[in-house]
Amino acid sequence: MDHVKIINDIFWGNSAYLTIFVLSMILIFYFRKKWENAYKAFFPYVCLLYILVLFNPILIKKLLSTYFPGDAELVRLYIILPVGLVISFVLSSTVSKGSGKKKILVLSLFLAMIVFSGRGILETDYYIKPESIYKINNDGREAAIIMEEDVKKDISSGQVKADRYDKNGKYVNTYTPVYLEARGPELYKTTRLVMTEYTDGYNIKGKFERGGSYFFGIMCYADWRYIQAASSFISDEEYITDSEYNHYSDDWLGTYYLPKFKEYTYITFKIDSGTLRDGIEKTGLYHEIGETTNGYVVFKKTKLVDTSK
Amino acid sequence: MLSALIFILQFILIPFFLGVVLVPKKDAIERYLVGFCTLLALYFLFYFVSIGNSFKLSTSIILVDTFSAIIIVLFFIINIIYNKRNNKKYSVLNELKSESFGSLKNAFASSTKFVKVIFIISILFILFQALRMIFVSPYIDGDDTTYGTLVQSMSSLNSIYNIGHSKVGISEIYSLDKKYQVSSYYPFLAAISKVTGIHSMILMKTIIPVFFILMSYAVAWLFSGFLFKEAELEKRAYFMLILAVFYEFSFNSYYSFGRRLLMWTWNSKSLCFTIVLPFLMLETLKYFSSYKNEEGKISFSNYYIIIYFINMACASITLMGTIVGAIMLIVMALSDMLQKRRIIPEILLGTTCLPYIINVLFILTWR
Repeated sequence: MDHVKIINDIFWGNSAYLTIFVLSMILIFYFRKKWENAYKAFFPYVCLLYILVLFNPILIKKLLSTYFPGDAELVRLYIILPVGLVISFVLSSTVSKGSGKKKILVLSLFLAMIVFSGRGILETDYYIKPESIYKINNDGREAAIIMEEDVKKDISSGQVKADRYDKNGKYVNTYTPVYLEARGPELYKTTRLVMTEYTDGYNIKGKFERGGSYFFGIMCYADWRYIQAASSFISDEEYITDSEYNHYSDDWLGTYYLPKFKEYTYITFKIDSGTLRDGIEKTGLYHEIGETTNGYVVFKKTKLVDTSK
Repeated sequence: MLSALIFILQFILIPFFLGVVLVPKKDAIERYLVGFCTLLALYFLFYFVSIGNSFKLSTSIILVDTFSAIIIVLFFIINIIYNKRNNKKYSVLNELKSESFGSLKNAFASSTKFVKVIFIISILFILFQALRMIFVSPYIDGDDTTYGTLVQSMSSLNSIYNIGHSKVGISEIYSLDKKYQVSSYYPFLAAISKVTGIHSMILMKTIIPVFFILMSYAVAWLFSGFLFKEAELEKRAYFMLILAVFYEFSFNSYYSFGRRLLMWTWNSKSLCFTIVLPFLMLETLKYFSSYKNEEGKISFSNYYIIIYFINMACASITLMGTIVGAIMLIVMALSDMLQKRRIIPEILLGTTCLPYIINVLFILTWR
């Protein structure tokens, strides 16, 4: 039953709304003749839902958890509880029973009860001011455009092939300007590698920071005919910052660090000082093709390889 | 301009026309919601047949063009059926003048000043919640990237799921999880993005949320009409206001209804949980109450067809919708069976779950 209790707690957050919901259900039962429609619609349904599904350890633990292994997934079953409808029905029916100024008073009391029992979206930091109409990170969008334009230039100059399907309609990887891999928690490791400074995601200390992500911006804006993500992992140890770079010798970038990305046509960093930027240029493996408004620099591999051959 | 027109056609007019055919009651909101679910269901059917036959050859252009052609043909058929049924040579557009709006207008006119004020406040608050989505960006998390890239890649590559998407990114070609492959909602968004020329991010994060929030409250409005009498504007106005405030302040937990509605609005699960499932619940309640009542068999069979389409829409959106939708219907059927000591409408309701069964079988057996 512990598992069931955990899921129950996750859904309700605190007991305030649970209490209001239970009281509403009791009132619906008590006034079942007056509120016939609501009673028939909600009362047996909610009771059966709790008994047969939500508080059923066999169903929750044994059967459904096979397909939905996490509590976070199982808690989604609670969404078919008509919480908002039941509470609103009972409160609105109660308000309408009053007369004159009493109605205003009771309605205000109920609204205050809801407001103070809960947590408003504006009290949280879930809404952020978008950087553009695309509602993704602007630097990411700019970087995607820089890379896209560059690919188009290469295609028009005949340097790379533009066809992406063979005669059977199967996708052919003719040109892969790849730069990042993202998978589960690994995403943030990879993001750390590529960007020397965060806009969001897990920062170096493992704390999650809010904001538009550079990486997400590229992924969600990019025209995928020209830009795609990579298919290999890069380990956490390969993360580098400007200050870290300063500890290494000049040829470290060219002989050890950059060759690790040999399959990547583009790599992109946020570079605060010129040290790393100059270092990358000096290796001759990558050259700068553009910079976003907030200092994310896009580098391109100097020697392109046509992977279709 | 053309984008806006295509969007209006796809998202407003076609659903409404489909609703006119399926819902005899002249209620524009109910017709629209039924039509929208039917549109999702039809797209699912079309997608299902397409990818089942030649998955690797399917491109979004083929899907979009063929589906649009089907919809246009359907539109003409609807017009012919409707004109024949009413024996009049007028456009189905006239049906936009809903009788339910007329009765609402009368109820509003005869209400007290206080009720009018509450009603207007509740409408304004709901509009505020919906329109706010234009100016803010909900917090970005892994789901945004997964589904955002999914739609954007499908839209820009002109292909349906030919690139595998792992949880928050792209892993390898043809490795997409089956549960994503059987969902037609994201290809539907990609198709809308492709047809209208609106970038998928603008569509998903700005336009769709406004629509879906309003649609969710439209379902709640219909629910209020079921719980109270339709003409009881006072109670319905309180109901809507309290509900809107409740959703605004239900951020106690990570998985609340309000959070689904006001944050992840464009997400498939949100569409399922905030619009399709509550609407399915409402239509199922109406289905049970229409069995052997004075309205006769027509109303009952109508609700049966409507529930069938909603179930199909629910199955098309997300795998979670398939499971949760089926659980909800089973519990509702048991609840009705216990209350009214009958079994025939419950068994018939069970047959509407066929889309769920097919979907699950598809997931278990496909490739």
